[in-house]
Amino acid sequence: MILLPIIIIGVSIALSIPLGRYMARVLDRESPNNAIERLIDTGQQPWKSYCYAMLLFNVVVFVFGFSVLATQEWHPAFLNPDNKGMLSPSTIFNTACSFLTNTNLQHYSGEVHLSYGSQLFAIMFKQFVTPAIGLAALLAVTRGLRGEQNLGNFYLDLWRGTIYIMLPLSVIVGVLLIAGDVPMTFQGNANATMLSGGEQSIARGPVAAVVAIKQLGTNGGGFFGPNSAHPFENPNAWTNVLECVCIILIPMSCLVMFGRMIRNMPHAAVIFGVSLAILTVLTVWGIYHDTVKPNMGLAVGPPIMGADGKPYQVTTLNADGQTEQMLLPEHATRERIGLPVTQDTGNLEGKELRFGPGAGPTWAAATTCTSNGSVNCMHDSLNPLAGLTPLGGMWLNCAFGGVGVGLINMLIYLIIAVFLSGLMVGRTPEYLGKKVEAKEMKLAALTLLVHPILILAPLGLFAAAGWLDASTNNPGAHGFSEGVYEFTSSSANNGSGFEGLGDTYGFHNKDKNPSPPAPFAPHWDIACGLVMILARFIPIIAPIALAASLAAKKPTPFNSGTLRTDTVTFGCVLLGTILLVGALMFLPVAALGPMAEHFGPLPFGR
Amino acid sequence: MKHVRANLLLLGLSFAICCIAYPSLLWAIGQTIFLTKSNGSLMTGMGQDGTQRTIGSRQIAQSFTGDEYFWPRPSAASYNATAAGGSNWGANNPKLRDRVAQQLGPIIRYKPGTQPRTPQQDIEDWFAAKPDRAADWAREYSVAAANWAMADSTNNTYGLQGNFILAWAEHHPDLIEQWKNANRAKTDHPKPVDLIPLFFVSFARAHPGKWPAVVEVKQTDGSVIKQVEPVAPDASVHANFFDMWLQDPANRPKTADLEPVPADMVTASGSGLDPHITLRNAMSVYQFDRVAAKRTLPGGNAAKIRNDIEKLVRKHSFTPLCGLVGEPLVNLLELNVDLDRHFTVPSVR
Repeated sequence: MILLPIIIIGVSIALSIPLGRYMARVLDRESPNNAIERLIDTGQQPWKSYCYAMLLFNVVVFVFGFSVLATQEWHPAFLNPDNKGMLSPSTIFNTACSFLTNTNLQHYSGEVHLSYGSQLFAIMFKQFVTPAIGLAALLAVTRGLRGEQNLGNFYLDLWRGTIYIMLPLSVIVGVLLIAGDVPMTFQGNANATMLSGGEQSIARGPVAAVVAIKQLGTNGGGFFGPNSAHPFENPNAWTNVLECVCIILIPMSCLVMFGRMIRNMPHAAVIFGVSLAILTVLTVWGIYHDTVKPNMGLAVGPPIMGADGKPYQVTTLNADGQTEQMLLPEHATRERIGLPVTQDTGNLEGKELRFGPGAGPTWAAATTCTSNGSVNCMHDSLNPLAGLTPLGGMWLNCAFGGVGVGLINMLIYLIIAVFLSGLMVGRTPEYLGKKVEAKEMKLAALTLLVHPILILAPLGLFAAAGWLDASTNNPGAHGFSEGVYEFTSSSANNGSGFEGLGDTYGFHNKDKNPSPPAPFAPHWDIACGLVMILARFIPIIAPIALAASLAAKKPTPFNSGTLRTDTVTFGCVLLGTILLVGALMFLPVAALGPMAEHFGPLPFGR
Repeated sequence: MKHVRANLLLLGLSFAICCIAYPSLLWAIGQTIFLTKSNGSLMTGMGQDGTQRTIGSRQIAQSFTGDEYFWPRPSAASYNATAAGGSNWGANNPKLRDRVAQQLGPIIRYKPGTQPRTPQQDIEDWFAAKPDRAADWAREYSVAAANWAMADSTNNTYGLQGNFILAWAEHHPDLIEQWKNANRAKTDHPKPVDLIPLFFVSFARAHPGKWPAVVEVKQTDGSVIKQVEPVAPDASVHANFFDMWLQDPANRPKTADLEPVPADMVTASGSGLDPHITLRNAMSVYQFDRVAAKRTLPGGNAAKIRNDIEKLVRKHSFTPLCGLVGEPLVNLLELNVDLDRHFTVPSVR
């Protein structure tokens, strides 16, 4: 079970080096190279124009995507063979935001709610351009760090990223996926008469095209509801390895490209090492708690009592709505005998067999470190502590991270680490030969704080208003974790979920819904939509401003007192900064969620 | 103006390339080189009327409940291949443990040669040994009991069990009285779920050692209707009381002899459509014995049939990633199709 992650991470590293070099060569060119590029080019842009162009294009893409989704009812028959109606307005808003921000949070179920037209034109279109937007932002930041006043041309960067990086890779991966049994058809549902009688209708569609770019562009919005756990999205162990490599490939390559562009490979290698360490720890943590350990709910469990050997007393609400003290009932706290189930391959609830044991947690770590958000097992059914793997990946959100934006997040931690080191030795901190001063630190702190605020503030609102409680699929602390996960995923622009959470409204026409709308679905739609937008654009624009501000400064000469950023020591400082600043912000919710669940009675609420 | 041109060009060009040319290219490759795969790996087979028909996709699980077939993993999506999904139940969810226990209760066995009786017989005796066992169950397994009362309920109508509780309450007004005394803050009428603990206490008093099971009753006109009646312990008792029987320290010597089931037999997959089961699962006493017994002709050579079926199952097994990860698996639809081809089922279905 440890072989699988080694294969996946090893192959990704090996491929990322040539790809990163190729990206640096193709993307880091100033002038347009051919007729199309000349048409698109609007000239070199300083940071404000660059951001303006970026926001403008995002508005265009949002309007376009929203329109495609909103007109689903009227899509031509060959793009809508199963006659899907219009989604509820709040879900359209959420989906338009979600794919615009490279999040791919899905408050719908692909095969149930979307036409092939929506899948290709609203979903897949954004899956191509939004990673390219992230890439463009990274290019701009990197150029600023290099000391250039003009950050390049946004439109040119976007075009090159889409056409020279995303497209060719998608074609290669798409063909490999089709060869590996992923469907690529425009026919509607297949009807089968089952072997033992009865009818089965099988949803299919142009799956391979969507899955390829979904994996490559850290998108993660699957064609089917269960994402890459669905046999048509991920038919066997080979496609599983391929898709998992695709998750981390471009984020890793971005680091290589960064190193080439700033002509400081050792510094990039330090960042790479720190990211790899985080990814490895999260993977091993997940595998240990989910694959080595059985599903805790079915297995043996110790009796639950305080240190004094007496049962716990808890405060509870009685029938009259008043609080009272009660002892936990004996049957809930006594030693639990395991069900006679052989669980030597770990927790199999929510897992597919064909990927092999350990594939679920490995994917969970990769998909959340990189803000991809596709899943090959149901994260909601992960063991309590194993659930910290995806949550931790998203809380830090910088170990490789999303295409382009991941490295930008890491940059913020870099600035903070440099600042802390500077404070410790009593010197003005420098990064890449430029002094880091108050203005830069303000921008860095702003970017850093956006993430926890956007998670914890709406979470508090939803918990206090009772909307969270009414939406959960699991009792107790795990229900709370579902809410934590939803906002964490939105704010990290990840898109995976503890999918039991009731956030699906479905079609606008209630009668067409196979199951009734979740009670607070519009609340989740709107809140998550806003969180995604803010969490996407603030942490892109502020670092661009930061880089531009650094670019405007005179370089300080390198001397013996300069903090070296290309050493193992600095790597440790960086890792320490990430853990201290990043992880501590979320310790309280981790304690209330996964940890409380782990130590509390299992099953809960009996 | 330059911005407008650049935006429109980018939108138009990238749309044309990424959303038209790219999927068309993949579609063309799929439909020419990988025709079967790219249409969903559908399998055709002979129907009962002798015509060729689509019987399913080799990648998508379908429901098998007949004893003559190997069974797939449980599906949280009821094997609905147009709305796939997992249970999304965490380890702390009592529903998860209840579901597994309820699946195990009716089928669980002792290890060969350890116990003289079946676990089901032991559960029945244990159930009857304490007249108000059902009342204990309703208190300790409140989630399972609530699910029992809510079975087949839709918005405002209740299923058989729910209506039975309401009818019981009508004949036993003290139930409502007790509930109202305990819940003075509430003004509305109690629902079946609210009355569960009181109902089971009252039921156990009236019918000690009995269980309110759903039974089929033949009417005078020959039709069959389902209704709830107090009966001696049956399969629903095996299902509902298995976990409670297991937890009772008095049963420790017996429960230690239970033959464990492979985990994939009782856990639902992420998609609900996992087309595989483990070879271990297929070869376990819980699957293999059932299939082999059902496919042995009366007076046929049972040992030979077992041997042949085992060969067939092993022929269908494979280990993912060329044997690098995991354990041997079997594609269930392919296996069951092959079973039908090589082994007849004696009795008519």
